[in-house]
Amino acid sequence: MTRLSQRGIRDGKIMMVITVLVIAVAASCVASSVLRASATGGERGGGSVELPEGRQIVFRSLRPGPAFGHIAVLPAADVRRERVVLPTRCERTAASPTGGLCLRQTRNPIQPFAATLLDDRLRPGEEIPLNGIPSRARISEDGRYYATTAFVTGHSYLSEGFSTETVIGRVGGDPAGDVERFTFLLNGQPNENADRNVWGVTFVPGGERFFATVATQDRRYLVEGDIGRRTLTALRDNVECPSLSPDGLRLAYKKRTGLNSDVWRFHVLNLATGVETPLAETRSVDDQAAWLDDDHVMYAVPKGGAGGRNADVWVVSLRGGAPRLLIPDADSPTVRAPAADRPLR
Amino acid sequence: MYVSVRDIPHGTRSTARVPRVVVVLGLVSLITDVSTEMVTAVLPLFATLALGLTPLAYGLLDGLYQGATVLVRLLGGFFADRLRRPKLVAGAGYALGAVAKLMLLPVAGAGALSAAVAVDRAGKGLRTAPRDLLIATASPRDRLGRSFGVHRALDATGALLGPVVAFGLLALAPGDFDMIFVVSFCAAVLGVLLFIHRVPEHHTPGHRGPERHTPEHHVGEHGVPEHSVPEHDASARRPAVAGTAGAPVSHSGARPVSLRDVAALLRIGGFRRLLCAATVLSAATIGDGFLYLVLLRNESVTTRWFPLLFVCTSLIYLTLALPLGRLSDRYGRNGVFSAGYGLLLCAYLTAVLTGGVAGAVLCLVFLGAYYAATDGVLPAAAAPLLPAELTATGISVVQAAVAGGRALGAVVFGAVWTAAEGDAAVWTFAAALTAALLTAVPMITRARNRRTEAR
Repeated sequence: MTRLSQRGIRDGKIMMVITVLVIAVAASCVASSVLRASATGGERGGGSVELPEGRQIVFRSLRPGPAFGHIAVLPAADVRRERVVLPTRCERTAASPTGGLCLRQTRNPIQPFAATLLDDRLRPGEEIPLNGIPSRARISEDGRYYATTAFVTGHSYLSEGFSTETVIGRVGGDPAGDVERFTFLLNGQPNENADRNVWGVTFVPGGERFFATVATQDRRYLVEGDIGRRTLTALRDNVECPSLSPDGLRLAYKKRTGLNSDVWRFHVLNLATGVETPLAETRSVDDQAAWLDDDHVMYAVPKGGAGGRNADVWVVSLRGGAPRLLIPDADSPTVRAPAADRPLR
Repeated sequence: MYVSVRDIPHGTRSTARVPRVVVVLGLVSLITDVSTEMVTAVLPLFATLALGLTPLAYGLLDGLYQGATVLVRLLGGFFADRLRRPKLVAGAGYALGAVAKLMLLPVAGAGALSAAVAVDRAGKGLRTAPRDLLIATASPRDRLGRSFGVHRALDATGALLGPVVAFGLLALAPGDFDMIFVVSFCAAVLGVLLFIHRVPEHHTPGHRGPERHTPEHHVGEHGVPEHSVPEHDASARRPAVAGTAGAPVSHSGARPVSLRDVAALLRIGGFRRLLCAATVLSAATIGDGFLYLVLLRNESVTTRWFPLLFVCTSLIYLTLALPLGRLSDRYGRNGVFSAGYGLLLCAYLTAVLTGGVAGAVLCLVFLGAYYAATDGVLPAAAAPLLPAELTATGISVVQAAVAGGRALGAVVFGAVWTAAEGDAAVWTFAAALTAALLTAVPMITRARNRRTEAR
């Protein structure tokens, strides 16, 4: 009995030591992580960053290190230059000549995500709550409208009923609202399906029109939307995440290829002729493409493999030729021409 | 061996009588659930933001493993009985859970993520039935409902705290998922340590009734004062519950249980009827996610409050788990179990008939009460009907049937929801549930009558 209880006491001591060790590991891990996070903090500080001249590619820098996820800028003319990293951290970003948009995680556990509007020097300003995990961000060229898409999923219990929420807002005004509540016209008839999801907005410059994706009953439709009339009109199906070229003549999008397969290829649609051309990128990429110029489309490709959780931005030419790596360790790219550089229309 | 008596929690009078093992198992589940749920809460975030998967792909992956768990669950129950070492099997399940958290650290794609999720689900499936057997073994038969109630309340508390801890940590260090995984792993290890150190092994679950107890096998029942049993009026009315369920006398020490013995479980009338009733009822459930979507669609709540719906349901569940468990000891477990599905029917009706925040809250109260009246009460109802050496198997069979029924219900509801208007789908399921109740309730009420008659 005494030997037994002695053994019990020794076991108890060993357990206690292991328990303390485990707690210490957890605590030191949290402490170092929080210290790292606060070292890179001060998101509103350092406003004196010099942005490159001329047309810029604005993206999210995914270089490992303390500035992982921060907005960065490169001159479109010379992407080999050292990137300018800004103090603002985002999950998705998009830029226009007059400003930008940053979807990010907040430090508020009750409202974990927010959209922040950026000014012409990409400094954070007004903040709008976001009801889910950031997915897509776009801002119109004139800087009047912005669009956010978020995945609404709070908990694993809800994963069976995942949905997206896409909101179009007026910069400095009221949001135009949840795009899912717009009237969806399919073959000219209003469609009332309950399971409708909308995502991937791209704005038509200078107006109230936009293109987007509507999904219902396992089909994806390319739609043309109108903010004033609150309508979504289906144009064609099996297509998602459109992106309008700077000249407004062509749409780049992902098209489902093959029967019942989830393989998506980038295609470009000529809006005037209705001719659809596949791009040279043969990988199935899940991103909303962005136009580098009227002849080139860029997008983020996850690296995968060891040390993943990272992506590179690739570019492909409409004239053919293999896609090439444009910016390593980056995603969420968009191009902006600062106001002074804009061609007069 | 008296040493351990010191460790009986000094709570209120009513909790002091709950067997110590049950409280320890509850605490193990609490810690493990904090660990698991903190990962589950951030996994959609991790999959979509860090890995770039679509939520659809993630949802598919999730659904796939829900199905696979059913099989592992059955295996867990069977091996606990066959090896007669429920602690070993449950411990392996807890350890797998910890390993899964570690597997998340180097994850860089869908393949590795799904492997980690699979291991986590396998661990959860494996440990459930042996753990419920340990609870059943440690508890007097007339207090099974209370014991399971205590366990489920602690379990639900962990499930509620997990996401809070995870989002709290994520708010301190946005985007640092690795830190979350490490903390979750540490919590899982603490759960395993507590389990190994504080839960006694029962080599022979066959020895359960007090009349068969030898001193060596008495370890699990410290903290159950002998005098408390005759005081209880329910046990006074049904003194011989243990021998009246039609369960064959256990042949402990004989050959290990085989698959044929498992098939023989279905010949136990009371158990067969409970199994049928549970399957039929669970197949008429909608799934919480869809019910929340109905509330959203009827504009009772906005997307912003979506995560809070789950929190509210869990709060009601953990508050009511113990009281409803005690109620089931007093007024019959089958009755409370059936009433639980009545509450679920009320939840459906409130979701479609009422609107506004008050309607949503009422719906969630019904939903939480439904979980409290069914989740812990079901194994408490099943355990006394089963032969001692097949208790874990029997519990796993009935729980697997419920899990399978729910999965079927969710799939069918998803199809009806897409084809018809939202409210019409809920009405369909309300009708189906009413029909299921009309079929199932007489079935299990008869089972109870027979038990009384047998006496």
